[in-house]
Amino acid sequence: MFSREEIETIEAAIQREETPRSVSIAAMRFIQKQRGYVSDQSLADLAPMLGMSVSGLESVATFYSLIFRKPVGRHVILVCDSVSCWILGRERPLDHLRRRLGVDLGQTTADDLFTLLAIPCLGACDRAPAMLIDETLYGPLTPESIDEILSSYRELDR
Amino acid sequence: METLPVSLTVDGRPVRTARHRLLIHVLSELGIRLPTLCHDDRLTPYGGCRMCVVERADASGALVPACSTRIQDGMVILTDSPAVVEARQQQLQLLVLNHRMECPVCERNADCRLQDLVHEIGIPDDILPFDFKPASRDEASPVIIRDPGKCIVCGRCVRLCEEVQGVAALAFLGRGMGTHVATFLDRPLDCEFCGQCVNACPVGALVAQPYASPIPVWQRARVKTTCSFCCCGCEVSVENHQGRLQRVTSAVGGSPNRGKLCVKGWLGLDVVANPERLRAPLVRKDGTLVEVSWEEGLASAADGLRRAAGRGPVMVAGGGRLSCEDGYLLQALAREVLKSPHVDMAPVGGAPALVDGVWEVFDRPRSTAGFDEIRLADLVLVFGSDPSRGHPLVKTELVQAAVQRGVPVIAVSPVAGGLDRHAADVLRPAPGSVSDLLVAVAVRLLALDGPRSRRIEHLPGYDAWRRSIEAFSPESVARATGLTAERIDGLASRLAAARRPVMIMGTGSGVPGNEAAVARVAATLTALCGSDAGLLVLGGRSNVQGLVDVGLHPRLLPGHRLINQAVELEDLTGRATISEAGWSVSDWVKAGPDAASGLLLVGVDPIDLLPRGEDPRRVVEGAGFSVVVDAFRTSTAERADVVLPAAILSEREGTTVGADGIRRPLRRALGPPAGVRSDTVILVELARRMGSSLPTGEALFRELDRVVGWRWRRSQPRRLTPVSPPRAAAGASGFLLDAAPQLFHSGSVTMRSALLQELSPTVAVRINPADARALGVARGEVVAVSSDKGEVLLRARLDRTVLQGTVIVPWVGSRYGASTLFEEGGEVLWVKVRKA
Repeated sequence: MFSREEIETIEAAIQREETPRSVSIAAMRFIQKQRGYVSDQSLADLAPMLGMSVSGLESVATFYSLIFRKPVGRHVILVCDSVSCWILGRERPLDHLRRRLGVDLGQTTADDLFTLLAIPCLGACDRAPAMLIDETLYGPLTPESIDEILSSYRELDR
Repeated sequence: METLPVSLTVDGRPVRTARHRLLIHVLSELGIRLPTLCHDDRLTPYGGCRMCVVERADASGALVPACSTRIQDGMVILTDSPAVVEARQQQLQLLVLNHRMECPVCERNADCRLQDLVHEIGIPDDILPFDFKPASRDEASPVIIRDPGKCIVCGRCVRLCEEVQGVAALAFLGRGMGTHVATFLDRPLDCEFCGQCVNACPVGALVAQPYASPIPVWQRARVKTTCSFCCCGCEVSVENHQGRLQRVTSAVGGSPNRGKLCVKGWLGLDVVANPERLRAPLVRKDGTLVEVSWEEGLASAADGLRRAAGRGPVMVAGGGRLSCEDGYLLQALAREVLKSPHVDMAPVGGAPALVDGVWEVFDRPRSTAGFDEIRLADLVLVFGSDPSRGHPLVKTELVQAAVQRGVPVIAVSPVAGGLDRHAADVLRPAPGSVSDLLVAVAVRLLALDGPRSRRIEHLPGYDAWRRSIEAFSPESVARATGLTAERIDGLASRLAAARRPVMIMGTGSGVPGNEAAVARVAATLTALCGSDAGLLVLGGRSNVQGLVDVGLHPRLLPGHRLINQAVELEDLTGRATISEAGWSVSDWVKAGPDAASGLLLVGVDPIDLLPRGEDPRRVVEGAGFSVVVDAFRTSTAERADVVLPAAILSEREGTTVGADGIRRPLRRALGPPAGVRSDTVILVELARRMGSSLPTGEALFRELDRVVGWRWRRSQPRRLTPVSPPRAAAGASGFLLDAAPQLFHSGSVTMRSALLQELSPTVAVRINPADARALGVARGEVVAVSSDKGEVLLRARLDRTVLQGTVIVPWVGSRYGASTLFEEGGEVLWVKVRKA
């Protein structure tokens, strides 16, 4: 169940739109911000508020890579998985990331700090190979720059 | 004639046509049939499967999907160029690669679009190795089997479920290569089971479990007929193999439903194979009903009826399912052979709205709008029983209007309905105040647009009507309806702005309120909206309109002739009838147990159907001699002297008239089982044994044509009648009972369908969870619902869509349904609900 504040925020957003379902992406992003991810229960609670079937809302949720349907770590690392990054050597930095974090794509570190995911094109070919951590873009990546970036997040969260 | 504005070239031929059309429609008119998988004319253009690509020679040879490309002036189209053929072959190959090929054992073998296209287009020899998706059939859902291994992701099911059915139970999950059709968390389907998805699936990815048959389609006989579960008049194709039902489908090109079905039309036909069906006539001997030969059964019935008619009045009633022909023969048997004026159809809703409502204003007892008018409407107003339960085709039309065309649908009802979610506005007038609301809207409409009165001021009764509406001040209307003047103004302004508004009035057993009064004011409002406005009255059973037309009515002779026009009828038939008004079914029940000396009930079970079953039970038992013609041992049949087993649904021949006034054929698609005869044969044989000859076959058809005609013409307003002043709404006392028609069960026949029983096994009371909590009732617990007329005990189903303060109890049957709680003519019913 959503909190009163969550419900009020979503309903206020609905009021601003012509149809309730227009808010579906924003509402799921909001819930994700509040709770880290969009749980089955959150989807089931949200769908009737938007006048949608829960299957229909799941369809929207599973279309977008940035809506997380499973729990994620505090920071989500999205490694670009498209042509420019492949050509400019995505494997080396990615392997380095795997080793440093001790997890493979689709997994979360034991300390719950990072989740490592692949994402189709980030649209940052000029900075390939590239990755996105939360809402910050990094690239071109090298093993050295990755160490620096990861330690800055570890600092931040200390 | 104006020249057509758009010119294009198709395969070298110059073509001129109208603007904004889809390329696929233009090409199909030229006889060019393109291969398609995802295209469906009932849906918004999509362009998913890319099978219908054509080459635009005027645009660097671009390949465009014809199904979702609008024509432009100067287009040069090649439909069969090498580039087109190659593109189609490659595309088809990709689809085939993701389709588990098990054609010989697939339920859709030889009935599969993908198979057809492989034959038509071919796939390259150097086809990539097959890479099957894992087969993970969903067999957990009731009725529907999903087989993702065969799905080609055309999305017809997903889009129909959303755009047409308004349910969105199925959805595309994932993206790109991972896209698949599924439900939330892959849960079993819990939907309306309309079958739209299964019928639209071009391959075998969605299959109806009850219709998964080893008999290949080419060994089945297929008969196109008209569904008779409700009055929508949907065209259905019934497939049988050696008399056994194999499948029910409907063609997208069919009318009026365009291939759409509902749970009853799709699955309910299995009732014909119910083992409880009567297979031989029954005659009461020493107090018990015993099986006899047809000869003996018919002789006993005819003999008993003749003697009853000699002693006193005989009540003759027919069910709303009867064909026009059988309804006509039944009234002829009553009026011409038994010389009894007491003829009526079962009081299932619709006839009073047509005869005493619409006909008071327009020149015929008939809806002035049909399905085409809904499709052209720019505003739809819905009131009375919820079409999403009783008339599912109408519901899909309204979802399409709202979702696909953005037409405002206004739902007016004191209780929640299935259209509320799609409605542009929902008005909740106080229970029983819909007619006051409609008058108030007419008053506001005249205030907004005075010259509009010219449309009706020439009609007789106008002055009296105009005076009678003066009582509808904003204050009195607010007292009656509980709605503010702004809400009513809002509705009136919408109507004032609409060019082709359609009003839809649902009726049915258990729909409270005076349907004739509501229909009368609705018809007046329709007249006020002009000749492009329409009113569609939805009857409570399949052929209510047809039975009104053929005079199965105590005050109406065939062809809408009044009782005093009997001579005119006799001139057309050459037989003497009687010119006397008779009892309606409810008059007969009110007249008491000794009133009728004989009964002939064809397809009607008054004990289960009418409010307060004990009154009808007493009058059935009190009648001197009673004949019941039905398919099952109904509550009324149990008490009859003679029971004759009749053919039902798609076992019959004849015609039926839909709510839209269109007469459609009933063709024999199944059976009937051995020992069962059609109503037509039974009625004609009864008459013959009483020494009279009634027309059959070609002669009957020609006589009906002379007497009734069914020629299309536009209804015209003919007079107005004053309205009664608004009545202050009574305060709520307890829960408001909603007993209107239900989706899965419309009456005693559907209750005997094994499949419909499986989908909706128990008659339950649906209640809002908050109300249930307040009453201390948990899901599945038994509650007592009572009025001062009776009490029923039912399990509670918690349902968030039910408004607080309302409970939904299906009408079905005096043993467990809401009919126990009603009194005849009761308008609003407040009931008490408590934990039992």
